[in-house]
Amino acid sequence: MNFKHKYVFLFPGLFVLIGILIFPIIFVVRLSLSGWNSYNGLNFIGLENYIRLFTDDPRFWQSFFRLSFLSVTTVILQYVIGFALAHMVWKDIKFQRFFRVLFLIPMMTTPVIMTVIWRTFFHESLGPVNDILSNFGMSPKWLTDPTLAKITVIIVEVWQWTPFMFLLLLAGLLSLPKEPFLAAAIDGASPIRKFIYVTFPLMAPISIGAIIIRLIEASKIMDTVYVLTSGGPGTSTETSSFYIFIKGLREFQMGYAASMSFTYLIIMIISLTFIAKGLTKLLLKD
Amino acid sequence: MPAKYIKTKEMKDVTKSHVGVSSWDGTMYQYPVDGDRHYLKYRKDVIDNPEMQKKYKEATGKELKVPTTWKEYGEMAKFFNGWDWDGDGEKEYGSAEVMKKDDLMFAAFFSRSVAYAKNPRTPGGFFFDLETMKPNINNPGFVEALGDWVEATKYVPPGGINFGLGDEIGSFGGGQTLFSFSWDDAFIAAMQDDSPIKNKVGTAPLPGADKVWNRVSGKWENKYNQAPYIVWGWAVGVAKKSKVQEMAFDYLCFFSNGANHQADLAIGNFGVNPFKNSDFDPNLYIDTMGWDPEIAKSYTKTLKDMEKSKNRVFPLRVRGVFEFTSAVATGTSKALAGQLTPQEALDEVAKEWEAIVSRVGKKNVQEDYAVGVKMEDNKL
Repeated sequence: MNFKHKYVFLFPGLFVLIGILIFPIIFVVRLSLSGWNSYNGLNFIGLENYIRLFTDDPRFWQSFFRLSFLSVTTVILQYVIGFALAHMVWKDIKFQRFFRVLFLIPMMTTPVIMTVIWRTFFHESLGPVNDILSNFGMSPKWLTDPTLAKITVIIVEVWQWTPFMFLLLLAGLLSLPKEPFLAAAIDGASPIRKFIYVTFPLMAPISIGAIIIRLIEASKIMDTVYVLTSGGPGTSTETSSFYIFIKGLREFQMGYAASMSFTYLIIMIISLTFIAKGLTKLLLKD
Repeated sequence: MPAKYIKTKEMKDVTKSHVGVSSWDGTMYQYPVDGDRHYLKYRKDVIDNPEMQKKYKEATGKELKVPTTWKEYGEMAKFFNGWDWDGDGEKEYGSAEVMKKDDLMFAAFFSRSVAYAKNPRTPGGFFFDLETMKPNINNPGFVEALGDWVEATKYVPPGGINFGLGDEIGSFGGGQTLFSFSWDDAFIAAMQDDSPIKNKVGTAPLPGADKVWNRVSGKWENKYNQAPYIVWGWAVGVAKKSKVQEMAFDYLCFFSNGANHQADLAIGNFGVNPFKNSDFDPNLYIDTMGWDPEIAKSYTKTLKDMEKSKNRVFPLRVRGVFEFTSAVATGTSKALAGQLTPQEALDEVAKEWEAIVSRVGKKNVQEDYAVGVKMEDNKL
């Protein structure tokens, strides 16, 4: 029998894959070898953009290290808080369903709109946060102090995306086998020992997955920075994606922005591979 | 632009500056629907208040009046910063300015720079030396302006260095500050019927300076200098190959006809500002918008005088303009945040401008910039 027609069924999927994944990547690579901007077309300038990036653009690397700090910090906090919340509603508590839905609400809101609301909260002269804090003699510079502005970005990111971590970890907790917990209970293990020696190790595979997914997402942070601070004060909250946005869609240096995007993609693939391996080694010893 | 639309009665009413904005080297390509310029807005009820004048005199030994230099502006803004001077139970501040990076802050910086760096006796380029295309952006005139701006971070409302244009409009328009400068919107917002400070605000030209940098002699000239900053304005292009070109132009004629345009002028957040000579008639604001006659007269005079000035500055209009202005925003915001000194920040901008000129091509930028220089040097 001739089964060649079976390949026809692959075409829709293949077509979508080529259209939305392969073609954009190839196009970005081609674009990165051009000086395409608001006055030049898709010409060919070889590796000029990459040479400029590696030899004459410290701002890109500064924004990358800033991004690393912000994404690692937010993901650690999201993991700790998300795990705590998931652990809390995993148990039989009152209003369990209500809390499960409540903790998911931030993730369901639109990031840009929520960030505008957070910006209003943290507005240093017109916002409610400082209005309340002024009663205690405090008026923190949430958006205009270089260190505090980073913390504000972290707060907003943690608020928005902890529910995602919560959701994955709760799903993981609900799928854990009951036997190890019964055995621990028979042995008289305290809740803390039970968490350290049973829950946490059993949750390691899902934790690694959740952390990696969130790291990928957190490393694309752009909308929060754009709305809250526009990368300021100065360049103190400028992240890689925001810097690429400025070069590409503010200055219209599309070719150069493409070279930064491609470099960033390669760096992320390599570093996330190492992080995943490191986490596996650390958390999955046995 | 088809000749028949250039010859209309409405188009003949457009100011010379804004015909220039819609034109390139004398040929009109766009249909103007708005006119932008930066000027000073101030709380008239405070500056003209004898009690406040006395208080200011006692504290500083100086007269409280509409500031004519940026130094005076800074001194007054500092004095009126952080206390309740209008008795509404809230603290007020010195000045609301666009200082947020990536939010047209470069235009606010140029507004502060023109007084120190646009010298009417040295034609041939405000942003660059047209002959050599060497950036002027880090000369002592611009550095002095950035020094003033860094100082201004002490008299803006809390969070003021993160203010975008919307914040500036809300802050001054809502009665939070003594001064503001930039586009019309904050002033119009303050003069709307729902404003708590309607008929309590005034306008004046951008402050000047007691000295101006001479980039040819490389020395300061100790002469008073003031320069208006014409910040373009919306103008609409119609595609050359459009099959409905006439319909598009007819719509633009309708959009900006007398009645529609006058209605637009009354809305602070709408963005359409005076660009016709008939807009300078104070009765328009007195009769239809309920403005105090004195304020309406001072507003229209402020705008009209900018048209008459021979020392106007127009924004950069060259290939790569977004790269140039973005570099200014990055450099100046580093200075405002204290990451760099004004000189270091503008040296960094100048270096970046040289790199952009080299990328875009010196001849290309020079060719484009020559048109802007002709406008600034009153040759167009």
